[in-house]
Amino acid sequence: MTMVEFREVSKKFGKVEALKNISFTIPEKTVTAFLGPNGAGKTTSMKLVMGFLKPTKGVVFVWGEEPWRSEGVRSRIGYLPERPVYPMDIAVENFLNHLAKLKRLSKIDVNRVIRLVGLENLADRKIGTLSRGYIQRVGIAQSLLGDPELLILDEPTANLDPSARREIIELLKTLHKELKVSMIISSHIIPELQEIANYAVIINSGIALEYGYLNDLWRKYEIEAIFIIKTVDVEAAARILIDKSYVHYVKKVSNSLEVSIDPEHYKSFENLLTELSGLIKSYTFKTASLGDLYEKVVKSGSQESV
Amino acid sequence: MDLRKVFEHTTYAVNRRLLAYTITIIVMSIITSLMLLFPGYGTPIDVWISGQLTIVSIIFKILIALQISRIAREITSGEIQLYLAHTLTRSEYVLSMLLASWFTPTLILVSSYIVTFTIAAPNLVISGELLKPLIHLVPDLLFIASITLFFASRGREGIATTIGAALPILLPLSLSIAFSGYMNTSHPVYTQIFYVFTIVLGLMTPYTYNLLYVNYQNISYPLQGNLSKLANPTLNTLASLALSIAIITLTFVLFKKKDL
Repeated sequence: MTMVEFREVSKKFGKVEALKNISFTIPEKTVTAFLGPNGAGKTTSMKLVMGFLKPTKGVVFVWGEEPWRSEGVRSRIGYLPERPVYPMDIAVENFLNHLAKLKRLSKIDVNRVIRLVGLENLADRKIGTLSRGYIQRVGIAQSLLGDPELLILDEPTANLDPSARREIIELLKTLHKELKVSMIISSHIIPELQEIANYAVIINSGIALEYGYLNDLWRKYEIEAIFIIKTVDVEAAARILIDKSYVHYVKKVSNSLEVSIDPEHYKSFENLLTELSGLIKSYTFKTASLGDLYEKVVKSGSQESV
Repeated sequence: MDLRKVFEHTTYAVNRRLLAYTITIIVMSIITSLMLLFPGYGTPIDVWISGQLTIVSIIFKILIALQISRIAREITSGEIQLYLAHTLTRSEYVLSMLLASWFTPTLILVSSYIVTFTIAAPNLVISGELLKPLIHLVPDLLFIASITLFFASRGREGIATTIGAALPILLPLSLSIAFSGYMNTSHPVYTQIFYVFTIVLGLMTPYTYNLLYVNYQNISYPLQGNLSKLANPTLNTLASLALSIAIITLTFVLFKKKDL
């Protein structure tokens, strides 16, 4: 079922056209990577989904309703804004308690999200005294209040140092795994969404270049997935892996194996590696195929426009 | 509109913002109470007492305007999105900010009047005589709140703050000049100009208008202007109230369509 639909949507701010007649859909139960460079129109699109902006032309539907008309749609969405806009003079707990009261939630719900994002020891601290990484956790905590069906996260890792970025991505992965919540995550740092997204919308200069399930897009744009695998027995592991129909090649690189697979079988390959835990010491995903995909889509998009 | 959410957000905004002005509010309430003790015990309201009360009302108006203008900052910074994302509607947001920034300080000021008079002259409270200034004061505060709210809700913090801080001082001053000009000029053109200014400015500050009207009513020496041609203070106050409600309604309507 379609969760979000943009139907020939344009949005102008004065003379600047942020979105140019874009159309795309996002199905339910997906983690959508909303990709595009700075200024592509990602934040504008997210604000349109939240009903904070009114389309200049076209219609935005969220679960079949127009969010700028039906403000009730927002009760089903958790939203993390791009900029840290939280009141800095309030304690984390008090701020979350207020937002919870608006949604008729109890303190138990607040304590649960505080625990979920790892802010238990900082709940009584004023937001302004926290580091950027923890302020971002406050943002994620508030977006999780009331168990939303959809999380909209606008640049959740922006302005964070690499370790804080890593922590946030791990947190999102955990949330998706535990809460099974749909997510739309925008980022201009593409590889970090690789690990979590299964759907993508790629926009550039206010135009939707491509959208769809990653498996389909990888196939369409012929993107391959490459794993680097460290093993206790290179030869034995190579023999097992090459037998799989979706493996393109297995290459020995010093004491490791470089394995190229059909990206559609990413999950089953990971499961196989887990099964072979006695043989496999560790593995890493080498190719940022989402990045490759993005580049190919943007390239083909610019060729089409020429 | 969910009034429970409005109440929640109003309480939150009062706790966050208005508490910073607690000392100012307490001092102003004490001054108000002290000044009101005189008429409460039978002394007529003279220029000195009404001057003090006017100063207090000006400070309250500036306080209200500064509080309301902060809405613009919440809009431009994006903080408002957090509250709207948690099911507060745009109308509930504006109403709760109006209640926190206008209604609460007004309630405190009105309380100082009622408490003082109840202690000093309960019989005059029952007759309603001593509470008459409140009829003009509350709409006066509402006008400043409505005009500041209009600009603040458009995201214009600079304009809202400037207007909100300047009008409480400029309006009584300009009205005094216009009123005095009307009452003391015989030249027909100047009289006409002063008349128009008095009517227009009177709508914007009904409390000052009432004070001036009553003062000129009590003057025994002959004046050039004809007081009876001016609007009755109660009528002027009702018109001012209608104007404020119109501005607030327009604010709500425009804010519903505003890009945030």
